[in-house]
Amino acid sequence: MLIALVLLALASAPLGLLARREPRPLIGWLLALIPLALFAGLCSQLPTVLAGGRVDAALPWVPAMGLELRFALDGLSMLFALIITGIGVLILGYAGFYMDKDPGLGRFLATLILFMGAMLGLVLAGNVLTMFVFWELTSVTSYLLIGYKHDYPEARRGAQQSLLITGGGGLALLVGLLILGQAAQQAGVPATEAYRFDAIIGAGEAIRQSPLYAPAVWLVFLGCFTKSAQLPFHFWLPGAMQAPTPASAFLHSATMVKAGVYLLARLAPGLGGTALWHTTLILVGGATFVFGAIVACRQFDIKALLAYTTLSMLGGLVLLIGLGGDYGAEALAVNILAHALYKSALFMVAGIIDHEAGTRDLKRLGGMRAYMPITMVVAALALLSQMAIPVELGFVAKEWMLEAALESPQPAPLRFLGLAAILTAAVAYIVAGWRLFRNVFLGQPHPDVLQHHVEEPKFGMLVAPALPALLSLVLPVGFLPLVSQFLSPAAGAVLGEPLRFELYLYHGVTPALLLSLSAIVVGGLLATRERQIAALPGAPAWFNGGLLFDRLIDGMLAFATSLTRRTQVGRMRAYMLYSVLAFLGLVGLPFLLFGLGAVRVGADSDLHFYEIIATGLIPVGILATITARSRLGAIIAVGVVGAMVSLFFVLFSAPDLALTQLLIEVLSTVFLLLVFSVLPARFESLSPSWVRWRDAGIAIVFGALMTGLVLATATSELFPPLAPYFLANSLAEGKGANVVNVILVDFRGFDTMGEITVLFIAVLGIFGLLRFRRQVPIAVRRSQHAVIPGAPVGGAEAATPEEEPVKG
Amino acid sequence: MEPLQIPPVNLILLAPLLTVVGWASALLLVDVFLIPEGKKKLTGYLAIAGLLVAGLVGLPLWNVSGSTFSGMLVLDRYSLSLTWIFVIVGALSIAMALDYLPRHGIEQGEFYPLIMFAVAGMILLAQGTDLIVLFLGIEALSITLYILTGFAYPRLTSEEAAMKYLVLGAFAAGFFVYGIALVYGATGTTSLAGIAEFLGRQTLVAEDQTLLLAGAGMVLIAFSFKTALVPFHMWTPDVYEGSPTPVAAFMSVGTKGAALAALLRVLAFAFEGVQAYWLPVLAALAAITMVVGNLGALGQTNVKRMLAYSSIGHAGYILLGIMVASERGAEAFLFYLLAYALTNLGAFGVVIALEQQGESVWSIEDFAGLYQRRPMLAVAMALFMFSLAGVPPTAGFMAKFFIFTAAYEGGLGWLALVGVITSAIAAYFYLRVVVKMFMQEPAREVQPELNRGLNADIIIAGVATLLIGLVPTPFIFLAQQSLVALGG
Repeated sequence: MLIALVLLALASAPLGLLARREPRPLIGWLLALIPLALFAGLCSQLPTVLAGGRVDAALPWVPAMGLELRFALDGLSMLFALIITGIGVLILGYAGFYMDKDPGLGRFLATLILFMGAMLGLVLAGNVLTMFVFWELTSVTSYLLIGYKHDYPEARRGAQQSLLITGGGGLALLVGLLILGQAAQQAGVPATEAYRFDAIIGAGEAIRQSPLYAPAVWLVFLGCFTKSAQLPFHFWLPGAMQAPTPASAFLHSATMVKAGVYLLARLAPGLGGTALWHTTLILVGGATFVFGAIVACRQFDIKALLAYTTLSMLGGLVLLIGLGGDYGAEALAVNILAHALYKSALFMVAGIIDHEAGTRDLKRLGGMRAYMPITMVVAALALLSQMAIPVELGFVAKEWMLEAALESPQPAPLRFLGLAAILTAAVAYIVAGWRLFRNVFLGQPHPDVLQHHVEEPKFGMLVAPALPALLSLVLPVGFLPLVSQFLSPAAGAVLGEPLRFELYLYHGVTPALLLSLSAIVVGGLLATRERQIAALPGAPAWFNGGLLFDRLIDGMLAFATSLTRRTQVGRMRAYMLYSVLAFLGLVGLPFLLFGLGAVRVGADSDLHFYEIIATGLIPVGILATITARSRLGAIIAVGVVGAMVSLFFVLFSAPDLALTQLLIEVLSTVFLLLVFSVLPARFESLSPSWVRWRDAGIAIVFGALMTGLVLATATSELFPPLAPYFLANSLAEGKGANVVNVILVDFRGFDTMGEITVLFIAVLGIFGLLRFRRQVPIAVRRSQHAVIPGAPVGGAEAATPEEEPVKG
Repeated sequence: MEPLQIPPVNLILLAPLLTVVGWASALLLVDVFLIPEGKKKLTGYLAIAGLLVAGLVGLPLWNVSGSTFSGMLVLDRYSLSLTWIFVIVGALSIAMALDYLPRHGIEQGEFYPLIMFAVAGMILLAQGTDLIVLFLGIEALSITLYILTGFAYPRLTSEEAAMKYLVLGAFAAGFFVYGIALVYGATGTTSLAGIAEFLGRQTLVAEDQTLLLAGAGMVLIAFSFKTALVPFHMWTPDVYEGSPTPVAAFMSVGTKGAALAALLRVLAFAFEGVQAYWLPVLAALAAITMVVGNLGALGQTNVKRMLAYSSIGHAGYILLGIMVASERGAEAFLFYLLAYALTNLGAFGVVIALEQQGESVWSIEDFAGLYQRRPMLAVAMALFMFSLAGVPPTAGFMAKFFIFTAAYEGGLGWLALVGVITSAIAAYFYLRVVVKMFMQEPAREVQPELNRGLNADIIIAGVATLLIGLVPTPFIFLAQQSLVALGG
């Protein structure tokens, strides 16, 4: 059942493309049947859930890794799922009207449905890893929604920021969840079940004792705070209002940003109860609550104002999880519902105003009551709920919030901090709400507006915000017992034990009621001065997370680029240098530390003078090679080295080796001469002298290390030498007097065959390459390109313009 | 001294390898004598057929295992699975090249057999259980690649790349041989099992085993060169940029995969006993590889270089699975290799489609607005980028998840953390391509060129990337089965 629901949502996303055709407005409502079907499907499970039961469904995915597609529907999931699908119905219908002129509507709706499916999967997931998959999917799809108007750089920036922040947070979350799974396993949960929510919550006691608890919780916090736009990661949310209004309404009211709150609430019974959990949530949530509310009072763009109140409310919800206790859980459930209703209505109203009046700027609106009275009523209903004016659902929610702070089991300072935050925010909400209402609907119309033909929106558009706005009033007045019954299992899931509570509008004069009313009074007084408040000096410009974040990204990019430029110079010499240095570090250092004991400075063998001459000439030859000015000189000097090595072999009675060495020497000299014939006769000095000295130093160290290794090899003789075996067997078994030959073609015949094969392949390939030369005789004149050894041609970032190939 | 014995040779165990080599040799002759100039594509099709036949030849060997050539070569499920991966990589690379070569005026019949020889080298690396054979495999692979790198004649960057690769590769080969010599000096054997036996016989005192440690260090450095671990990675971006794009694609997954597969065998069997010595070294290498690879990719505007750096970073992730050296780690390694290979080949396929004739730009700007022009191509590329970045539900996510959990359970939690953090950095540059494709207007007119081979590559890679991500169980099962009776 649950799997089918989620799959249905995801699979029906392509249907959104239908909206490419006319009549778009109607197709919007037609598509709304999808979430409606989901809504109905979920409702059919209501009896089970309300009775305190849970609906489970699982599909094995990768059992060995604890990965499974597991879904579970309990009170909390039901609350979220119904909000998502319910608001989804309205948003889809609304979008068809709102964007009826937009050619991309089909793509937009398809993404929107996909997003809804992802969100549904997220809240229904019964396994943290299943949840994570959908979590990332919401990040990606919301990115597409926010960046929908990709012609606007602002939209692109907003989309990118939101993706980077939530995506990065998502990774932190994944690590946190994995650690939780590990902790659960350590607590005795079998590996195949360790990633289930109920297993983690069930093992909560042990997990809280575990040393893994703190890192896991911090990582989960990081994921949730980024997703739910808590301070100091709040800045992406206002940027995300660049999305088309239907998407904003959906993102802000019901989905995306609530995901972080949902996860915290879901994990609260398992991870909550510690000082770390409650202190952090109260401080972060409270700060965000107040910050968003105050900043909202100063906005001129309707959507920005609403975005900041969303930010604020998310802080409020996090604060409630932090406050904990029965009232905390209950208040959380009520507030989620109340907020979803009024915020979706408000965003859709903002869209209507934008659609009809052509602007969302509070300074350029006004007097709309004459043109769109019904919209005004809808807006007023939603705003009153947001402002927590009595008999609206928002009022009940606010009162429960105050109760949660007053009755919180947390220590007094935290409790009072929470209370102060709630009161401050409550006052600010009233100012912000009044500011919005008055500047849009009251006063004289702005001249700009009059140029538009402003009128009530079509019914199909207006009904979408009207429904939730009406519910904000009707639910508390007529259906509080039903609402209480519906919310009780949700609150119970947050608390971790079954719970039943009754909401009320009036329950005698309680401290909460008095506080609530006094907030309204203070707010009302301040609201009359909303213009002055808006004009107060704001936070300094640098205190802008978005800017800081952009700078951070730019800084990282600049750092990465310069690092790459420096190391990746494109020169062979530099590459060799790094390799040699790394070799010295990896092999040289350990050798120095452990190996020197094994090196014997041989004094026991007799040294003959010709041996000294032969060996002595080798370094001389090398020095001559390096210092030679002319290429010919260098070749001769190299030849000397080779000859001395051959001589060396002769002295140690290895004539065959000497012969081979000599052959190779001659060959390579010939090759060198061939190559050098196309190069300038003299070397040019291409690097400053300090570089040469540095390189010389490194070379000497490298040589010394190699010498040391050779000496160490010569000293250790752990095994009988092989020579006697070959000497004894080569004639008898191999039928050959030349031992080296027999070794090559007989004893290690297969090796030789392999080598020959490799060489054969090489020859073949080189032949192919050379054929190009024949085919393309004119195209490249090598001498025209000054081939300077070491000069970067491709270089780090440089691209060489190439010649047009001439086909032969 | 016992009398000399001819080692028992069981060629059945080498059937896939011999098929590839034999087919490639025959194909060379066929190419020269039977296939006319201008119809060289036929050679390519025949080469693909040869690789597929080699893969099929391997099928009945699934339940066969054993070693031959005096224990120098082994056939087990591990090597067989790797063989299949390499065969797929080779076939897809050839498919990409079919139209690439004539389009850029570098069509030569030798190209296809050379790729086959390289695949043979890779299979040799998978089957080798002796340091000498591993050296042979690395050389067979490298030498063909030196040539293939220089194939984009007359582009100068291509020749430069071939030169750099050759010199640094020779450097690495020198290290390898020297290392083998030192190991032999210390243990008296080059066979992996022999080394393990030697190490098992006694407790190791570092002071007495300088040679062994130095030798092992040198072998490690040689492998680091081949797999482009930082700081032995410098050649990678230059070489990938310079070589023909199908070759770069082949290298980015083939060379790396084969060398890492061999490294796994060397570490897990020969040097298991000295894990305490190599583990910290390798861990440090893996950590800087992940960091430098991903940071390097951040600043790139050239997609080919970006993918080069990305391949460096991924080598770091794969190394995690190798280091754990547990069964779980090896499974994760195989799974990651498969997922990464298919994804990366797909991404390179899209790059090839966008590569304009006679140009060597590969600018990320060319991806701008791709969605408007070729929606399916853009969607495919987005899929590959998401997979490389490790976003669910793609193969890349599954692979990363697998390998990070394996590392965590293997006691390398801090490395897994580095992996996750660098993955977050990596997401930035992968997604930048996606942003370009979906959200920006084209900067200039780039006509994507698709053809049969390229289509096949992109479709196969795309479907596999999704399939492995959505239904990973059979693949994981295969990886688990591959490690049954993994012999040294």
